[in-house]
Amino acid sequence: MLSLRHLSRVYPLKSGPYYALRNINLEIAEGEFVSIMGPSGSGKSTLLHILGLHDSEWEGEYRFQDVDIHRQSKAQRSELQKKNIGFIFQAYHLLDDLTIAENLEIPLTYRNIPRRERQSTVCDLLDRFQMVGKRDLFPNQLSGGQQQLVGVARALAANPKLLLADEPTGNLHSDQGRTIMELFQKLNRESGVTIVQVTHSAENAAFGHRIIRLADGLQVGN
Amino acid sequence: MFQDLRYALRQIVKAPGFTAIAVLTLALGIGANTAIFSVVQAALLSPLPYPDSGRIMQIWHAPVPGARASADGGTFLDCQPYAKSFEFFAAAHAVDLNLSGVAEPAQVSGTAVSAEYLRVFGLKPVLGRDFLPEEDSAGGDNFVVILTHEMWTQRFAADPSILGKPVHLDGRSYTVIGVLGPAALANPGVEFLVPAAIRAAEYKQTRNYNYVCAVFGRLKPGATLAQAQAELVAGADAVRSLYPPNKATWTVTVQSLQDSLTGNSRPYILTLMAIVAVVLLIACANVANLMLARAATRQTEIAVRVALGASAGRVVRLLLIESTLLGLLGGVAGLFVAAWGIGPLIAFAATGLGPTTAVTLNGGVLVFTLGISVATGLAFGLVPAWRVARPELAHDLKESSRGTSGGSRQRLQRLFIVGETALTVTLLFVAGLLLRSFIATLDNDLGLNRDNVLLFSLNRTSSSSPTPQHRVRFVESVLRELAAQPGVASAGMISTAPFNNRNYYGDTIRRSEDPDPRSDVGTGFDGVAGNFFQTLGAPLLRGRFLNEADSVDGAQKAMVINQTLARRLFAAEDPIGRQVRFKNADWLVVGLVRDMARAQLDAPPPPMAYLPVLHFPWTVTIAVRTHGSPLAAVDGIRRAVQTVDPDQPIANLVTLQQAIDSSFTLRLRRTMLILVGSFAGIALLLACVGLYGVMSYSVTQRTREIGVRIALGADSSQVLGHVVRGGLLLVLVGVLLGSLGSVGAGFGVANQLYGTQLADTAVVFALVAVVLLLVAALACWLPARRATRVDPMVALRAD
Repeated sequence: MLSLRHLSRVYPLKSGPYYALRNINLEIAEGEFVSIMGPSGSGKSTLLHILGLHDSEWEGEYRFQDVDIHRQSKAQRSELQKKNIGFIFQAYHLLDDLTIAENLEIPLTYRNIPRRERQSTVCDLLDRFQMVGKRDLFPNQLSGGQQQLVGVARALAANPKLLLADEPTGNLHSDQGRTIMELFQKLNRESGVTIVQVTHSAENAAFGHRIIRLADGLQVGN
Repeated sequence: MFQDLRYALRQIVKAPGFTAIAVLTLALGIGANTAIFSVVQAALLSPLPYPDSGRIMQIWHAPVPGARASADGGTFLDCQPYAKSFEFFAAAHAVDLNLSGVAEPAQVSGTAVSAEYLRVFGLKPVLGRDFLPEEDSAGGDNFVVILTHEMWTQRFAADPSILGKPVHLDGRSYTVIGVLGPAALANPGVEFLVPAAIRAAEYKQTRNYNYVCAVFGRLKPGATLAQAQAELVAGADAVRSLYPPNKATWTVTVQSLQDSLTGNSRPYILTLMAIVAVVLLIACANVANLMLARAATRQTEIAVRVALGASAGRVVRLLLIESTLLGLLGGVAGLFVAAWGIGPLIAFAATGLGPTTAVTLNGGVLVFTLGISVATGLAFGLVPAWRVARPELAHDLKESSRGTSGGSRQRLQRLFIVGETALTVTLLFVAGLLLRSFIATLDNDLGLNRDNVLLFSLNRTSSSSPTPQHRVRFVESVLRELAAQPGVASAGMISTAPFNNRNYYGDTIRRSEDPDPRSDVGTGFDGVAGNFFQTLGAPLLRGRFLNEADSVDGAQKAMVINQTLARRLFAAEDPIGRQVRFKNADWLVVGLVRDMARAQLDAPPPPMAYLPVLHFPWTVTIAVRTHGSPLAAVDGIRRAVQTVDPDQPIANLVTLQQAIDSSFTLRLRRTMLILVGSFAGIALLLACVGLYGVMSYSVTQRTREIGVRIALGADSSQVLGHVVRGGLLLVLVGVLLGSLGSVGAGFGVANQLYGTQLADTAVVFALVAVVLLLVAALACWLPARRATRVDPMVALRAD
């Protein structure tokens, strides 16, 4: 599904260039569930944001679904991202002023999906994640686990082929974390969604098919 | 779009403190603009209340091409044959006549007009008829009158059978032939129209201002101002040889009536419009700063939206909808500020800008307010929206990045502070210059003593005083009776009251030994009697005052002149005993008095000749100096006049101080000072609130840094100094930039200044800078004091 060749991310600092990632080479096939692990500052989140097309200031080659991302314009990357990628954050990042239903609807709005179709998708998601009764609540009225469930549902709203999760269980206690991981596993198995997650937890990493290890911006294990 | 609108409304409701401050700030800016626009619309944009008013022109005498001076009966008759582009052409001459034969005899003001006057303005009487040509001609019945609706209702109880009835004006019977509709004439105070009958009286036809007129014309459909101007200038060229030599270069200026009426106040109103626009800019800068500060707290939200697929355009649209909503709320609040805050201020202060200065929230004003509200919302929202619409996702989505402030945002905030400080300096500088001019105007030596002097006019009817001698006897009797009243120190008479906001008389004069009429100079003149000069406190410099013997038939024609006329006629020579040629006769100069201001406080005194009342007894103003309050002596003064003639009404009674205070130029200066000063005050308040907000925000953002400084040993004064210095540095840069703006603004208002030298402008600027720095220091000190109370333990733990 995607491949990275000699990918580096450099921050120019006054004291000289700082390599957040250096010469990363990576292949992830469609339908895989991959975990990225490594100590703090090793470049895990940086790599995930590059995969999610949030960052464009990298060097090297990135090929996604037979498209050379490194040759794409910003607008083309944005379109590609909207069509194919969903993102889940450690801090959930639900929009505080929107209801649960509105939070689920917002990615569809940004994809110019007609209102009727949006509402239908939101209803499906609420039903699928068993949150119909919570549709008009605001995020701060939910527990952390429930908020992250909404975060997962929101990431799936636009039916992405690739789901990226940045420490999705980092703010949850272990039971809630397990629920999210089981949900990921189910999505991967039943819906064929490719999943890449960053995690500190070996237990959660074990839910995936393989683990990529990073240290000081270098890939040290696969 | 509807969805964005809903979210934007939610954001506004969610932060009531932020919303309230932003709306209040915008309300001040938008309210000021709404109020002044209302004045602009009424004074400059709205058509005059006459049918097809764009075709109404006023024709002026022009000392040089393009200039404006009053015309006279001679000019009117000279222009009439050449006025081919005009459908109707008319002259108007202000008259005050005594109304008698009614319950309350009174002096009433009206206009003597030529036959086509009402047709020029597109008006017709609602009762009766217009003047006939023969009623404005020699040999016709010139004693007919058209009443205004106001006079008809107030003085004749709206008598429906008034037509054909006699009305007694100045002792003569005028037949009422018509009544105008309510508020038909735009010039308030005019109660009636009578025929001017210029062709019926030789003295009205002269070209030396014996009969001062305003001349008006209605252009034919399709005719242009330029055509009319060309025709009348050609006419002026053709008849110029008939004019006195001192008018050898005079021509004619044609101007639309709208421009004629608003021409004087236009630059002042436009200055005010520019000033309130600057106030709005400052308000925008403040709210933009607030938005930038809030953007810091929404950094993550925006990053999430972008991560979820929102384009930069969508984010900008959402934020602009929010700011436009804020702008509209500010506009609604601004309407209240305009109607209830600035409206009364203008009503109180703006009498100097003319009669059309009421703040009226009509359709045009509401559309304007809607327009600037939306424009304001876009203006203050665009920069912050643009700034936050391109987040650094990888950075902003990290949990630890919440609430941190980007360097570019702080730079923008500082830029706004510098900008609004510069604008405020410029406004304060303009207000300071106007204040300096106002003080210079008040301090101007008027050449008279304004304390305890009462002025009133006595309009003598031709039936009660048919000859000049009768008038002289009447005036001298009144002055004797007044002098005998307790509390009266002295009394005198002059033809027209000083500072009456109307015309005074003028003619040409030259030295008798110089037969060349090209040496004529123009001069104002007045008939005087009694102790006029002593009453006004004008000292005699040489020779003697006029006395009763000078007003005896057969006496040598004697006159007193002022310093300006003496200089123009005789340069440095002694004028006493010299002969001058005036009104086709030789006069002996017997006295030289000090110059007195005549109509304006901020202009050099005009040349003046003072004649014995016998030679100009037609209009009478009495001046009375009292020992105590002049108003306390009013009853005694009325009794004294009634002792001489029980039917004689007293009109236009004011103290000299009141006359000066209500003189046009002083009112205009006071108006500008109050309004500009108020708006500059608002600007100062907004700038300081803005500075306070940014400094306060900066202290909050730098809590950790300040905590580290304190932990490292910085004491309170060092922390205080550090924060205050940072704020004052911005203000200082703003003051420096403002100095450039002030130079430009100084040139812009130069023609509205008086008695203000370069040194004064330097002092004004220095004062403005000091005031601003002091207030700014206070605005910085409050957050700085908070910074000194930062507990390093708490601050570092919070991080």
